[in-house]
Amino acid sequence: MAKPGELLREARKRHGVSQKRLAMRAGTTQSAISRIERDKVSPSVETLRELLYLLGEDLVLEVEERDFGIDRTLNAERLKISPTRRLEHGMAFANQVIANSPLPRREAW
Amino acid sequence: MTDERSLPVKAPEVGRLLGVLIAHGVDFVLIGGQAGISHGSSYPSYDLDVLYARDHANVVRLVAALEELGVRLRGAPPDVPFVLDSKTIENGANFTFVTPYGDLDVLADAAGMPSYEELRVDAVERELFGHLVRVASLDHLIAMKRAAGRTKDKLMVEEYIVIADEQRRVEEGDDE
Repeated sequence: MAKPGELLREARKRHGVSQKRLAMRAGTTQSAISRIERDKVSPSVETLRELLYLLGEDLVLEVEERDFGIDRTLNAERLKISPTRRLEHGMAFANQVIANSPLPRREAW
Repeated sequence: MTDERSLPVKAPEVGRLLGVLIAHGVDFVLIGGQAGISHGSSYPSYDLDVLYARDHANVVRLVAALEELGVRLRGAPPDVPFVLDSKTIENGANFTFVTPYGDLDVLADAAGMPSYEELRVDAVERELFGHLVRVASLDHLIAMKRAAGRTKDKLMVEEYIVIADEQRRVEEGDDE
């Protein structure tokens, strides 16, 4: 994902506008623009939107569901059984892992 | 909570441990991996973690429960003296024990948790092994796992987010 500074710098260069000119348009200082572009400060969404607007660009925010790479089938199946059954499965699974693990064992009671 | 480079000799007997805490009227909230499993997580957990209320009366009840469970400090040399009484619990905060029924962690606070009261209010009451148990909400478990920050915790955070999403789908009757 592009950082705000990178987005702004690319848009500004695309339009051939210097930091000073953009600062003038925005009523701020060249150093403020520079800090944003170098990601020294994180602008608010509104500030970024305004700066891009002043360059003739629109900021489009999108949200999309993350792909965790987790197979949801198992979780969906777990939700069909009672919490107690889930814990019983969990204990059985943990004991299976313990039985087959090469890791050292902690002291027993 | 659990030492990642070693394993206990067996998984905790969750019903047994919870049963003793409940029988003594201990005010606690189930957290950690077992709480996650009760919400639908498929990651195994090798201990039982509970957060307890710190008021004196509850600490007295907790001590009685721990006595019945016959706890010993986990990982402490045998010659380290440990007196199990309310003063010890009140002077400390978080204790990791080994019991005949598996490893038990009894905590006053955990990274990423809100106040105990807040955690308790947002907890869900679940019937587990015939006992009504307060289980930390998925959202608070996510915050705590996020704060713990180990690799396995990060994986669990992602799984818990997926579970919350699945729960919403089930509640809304969306099987897609």
